[in-house]
Amino acid sequence: MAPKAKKQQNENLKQEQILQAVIIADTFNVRFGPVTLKKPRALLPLVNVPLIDYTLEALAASKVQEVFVFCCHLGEQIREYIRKSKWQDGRSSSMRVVTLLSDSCISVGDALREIDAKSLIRNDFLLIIGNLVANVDLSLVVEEHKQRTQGKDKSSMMTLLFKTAQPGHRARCREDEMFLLEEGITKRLLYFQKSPDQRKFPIPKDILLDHEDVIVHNDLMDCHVCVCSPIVPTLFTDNFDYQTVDSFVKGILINEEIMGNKIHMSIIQDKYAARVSNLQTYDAISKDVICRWTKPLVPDMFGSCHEKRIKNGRHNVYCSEDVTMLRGSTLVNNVVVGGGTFIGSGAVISQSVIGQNCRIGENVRIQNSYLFDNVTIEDNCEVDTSLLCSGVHVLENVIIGKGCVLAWETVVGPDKKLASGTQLMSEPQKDEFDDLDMSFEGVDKPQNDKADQGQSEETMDTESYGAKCKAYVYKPLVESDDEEEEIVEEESWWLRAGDLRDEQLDESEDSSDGGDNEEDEEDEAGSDGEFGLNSEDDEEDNIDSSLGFNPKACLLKVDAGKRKTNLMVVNMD
Amino acid sequence: MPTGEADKASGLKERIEVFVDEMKKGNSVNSCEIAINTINLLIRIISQAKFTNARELLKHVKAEGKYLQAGDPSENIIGNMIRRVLKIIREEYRAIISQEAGQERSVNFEDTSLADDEEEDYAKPTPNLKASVIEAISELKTEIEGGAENIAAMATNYIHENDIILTIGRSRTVEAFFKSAALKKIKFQVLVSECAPFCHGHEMAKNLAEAKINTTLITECQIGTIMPRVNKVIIGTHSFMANGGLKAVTGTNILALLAKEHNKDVIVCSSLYKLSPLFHSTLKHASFNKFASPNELLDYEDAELLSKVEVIAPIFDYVPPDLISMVVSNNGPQSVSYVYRLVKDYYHPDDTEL
Repeated sequence: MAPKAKKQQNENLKQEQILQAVIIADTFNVRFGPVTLKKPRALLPLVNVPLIDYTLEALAASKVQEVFVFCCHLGEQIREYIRKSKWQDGRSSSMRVVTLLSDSCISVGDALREIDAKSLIRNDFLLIIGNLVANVDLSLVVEEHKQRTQGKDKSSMMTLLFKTAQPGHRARCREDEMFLLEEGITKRLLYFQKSPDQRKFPIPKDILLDHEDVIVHNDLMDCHVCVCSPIVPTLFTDNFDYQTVDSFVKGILINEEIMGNKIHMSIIQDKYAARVSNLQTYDAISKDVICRWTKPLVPDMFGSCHEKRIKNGRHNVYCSEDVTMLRGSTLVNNVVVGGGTFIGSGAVISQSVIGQNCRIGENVRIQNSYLFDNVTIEDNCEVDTSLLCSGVHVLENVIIGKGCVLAWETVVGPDKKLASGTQLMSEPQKDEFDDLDMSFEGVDKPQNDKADQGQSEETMDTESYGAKCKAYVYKPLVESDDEEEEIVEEESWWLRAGDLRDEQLDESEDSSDGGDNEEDEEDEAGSDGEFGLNSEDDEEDNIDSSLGFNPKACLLKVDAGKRKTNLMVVNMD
Repeated sequence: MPTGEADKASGLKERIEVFVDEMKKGNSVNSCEIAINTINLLIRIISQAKFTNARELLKHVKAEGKYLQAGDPSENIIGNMIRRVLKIIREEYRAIISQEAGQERSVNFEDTSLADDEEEDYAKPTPNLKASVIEAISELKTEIEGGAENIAAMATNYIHENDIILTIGRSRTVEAFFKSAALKKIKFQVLVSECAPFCHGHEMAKNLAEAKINTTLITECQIGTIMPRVNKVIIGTHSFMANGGLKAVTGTNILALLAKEHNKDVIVCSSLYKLSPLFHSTLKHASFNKFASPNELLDYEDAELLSKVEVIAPIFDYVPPDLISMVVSNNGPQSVSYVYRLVKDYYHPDDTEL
């Protein structure tokens, strides 16, 4: 009797295919500078919700049944967070979340090798590298992949997910600028090249000769999501030089003729998927969340819970119910304010995210900035295009320039002006070799020379950062390994985003100062005219080569910065 | 036995979780379904609740109701259903008490006097309350399920031979209304405004055409030109407020304004479960409107436009009551100025704030 019952059970198991997903919660670099020294990136809040929640929610919505979260750097914190989250305390039983901890991993390849060693994967699975924010139904992509492997292309190893975004798009990660060739009918990936230079693309001739229907893509951004056949982890184990998915894809493509393995691609058209990979994309994706591209993962639906409801007002102003705002303070547009925050009179906040229990003094101006929880900004400060982590304290009359990053519990001021691009932290930096965590994060090459203008980082620089400051300059690791990853000029990651919005800001300032609608409208009309003129020029730049990408894409970016905002308001109720 | 009960309780908890999750994701669109689901949950909540008197039950239902509503605070239907159930509990309690006391005073009389309500503390033990409440809720459920049919039965009073009728978007109630008139062999023409960008109107037009009704699909921008030719406007609504104002699909406001301009009647078909005791901007009431993703209106890939435009895509319009001629409900036609009275009939003033 017993064996028979067992056999039946086995059959049942076979029929039900569990959809699995692997999240590599570490990206093995220090793109976030001092911010990720104490807290893993997956737990950084994006619009006041930890990044990992976005990824898990997207997977749950795609009906994934089992998720492995692979964490390395400060993995203990991630595990602790997940244990307390709704995925493991029994409130939601639809998805099983397992955290895997490893201290020895230094790349995605290592992580996959470890997963292979534990033989956790049973069938086609979703591999998500880093912090995905998406509302796309990933199960459809898995289905597409399954149909392919069960049908003609049994040798398809992987389906990569891309989203269309023109070059210069704000959510495109500049390190990920890439260019690829797709075979039209089969959606097969033929050639793949990551290149920061957008003007020249070498295309192997034989690809064009061998295939009739080749589409050249320069308009895609990598979502860092792929559907993998169960054999993929094994392949990683076999080849120790596969460090990243990119190197894996390249390896497969080069050996295509020998091994017969193929890579396919899938392009998302109308849904959203993007990865937070550096501060520039953090900024862009925050804006997308606020502008509701990621619906239903938007602050008033996703970030709001039973006790703390977030209201959604006009111009994408989201305000938690228990926010105290004094008379004369304004939230201009695209603002999220977390619960328990106090905003003093005369404060003007635009395009920013304010965390919970923050305190913002009188006549403070905040633009394009991200404040985590418990930040205090005293009277008459200005913060522009900066990131202020939890517990930061800015004393009176401090002006924080563009692109500043103040890590946990830094104190600056009073009466100082921080030069743009300053990165500060609250305790002196440890020697990089002391800290194990940091030693394997050294893929990064920063070029920020402003930081060391003749001061040693061991002493507090009260001269530049105020009499009562508690701030040390963060000096990113200089020892840059000559690894295969291309090094992009780091200093531009955030400043560019700021420049882009310069004009926009001017206008919003105008409108808030004047406080007069008519004036505002005139302003808009004026910019409309200019817009028209400029766009003519642009059309020339936009010559669309038949290959499907814009050869002068770089020019676009420059122009985009010059132009003024053009408000389009649709269907106001 | 106790394990069975525990199972039941956890089963209920999971159901509530699923419901709240669904509401959060904004997956369900059919308001009748939302109403029925809410009621089913409330029946379960009440049948599993342990209480000695009505006050405890009211408190329990309120607390659970608040949780249900938190899934989507701007979804009035859930709140309406919770308030209706609370009112039922109050009524049943009073009925039982007056029966026990053998008082001659009629329940109706008590209903109208506010002074009595204030004194009422619902503290007397009432053993039969649960059964009678559940029975009354089931009646409410049947009423909701049959709402659209009841309204459709009145179609011939409003639709006449050779009428040209304008409607917007898709409403199941209005669809049934038209079909019922068509069944009575009345020949009329329907113009359906497509309700861009969601274009629910397409489905409506298709369904009507399949029912052999002379149907034309138009875009919103044509409403103005077509309005002089139209005899009347018949629309559905998401819900209606205590002052008779509508929360209806985007475009309804402009439609109603144009109808007013051309002096055409605007008839709203709506079951009474859509009646909300709230106003457009009740204090502490969550945001009235919902906003969709700009995806429908702008291409995400367009790098140049994206950072420079602000796209606002509201799902609902508020239509002020003076633009509406009448509401056809499952209890018969109601004039808009009378809606406040319906609110008094169906909801208890103490329940307005959940």
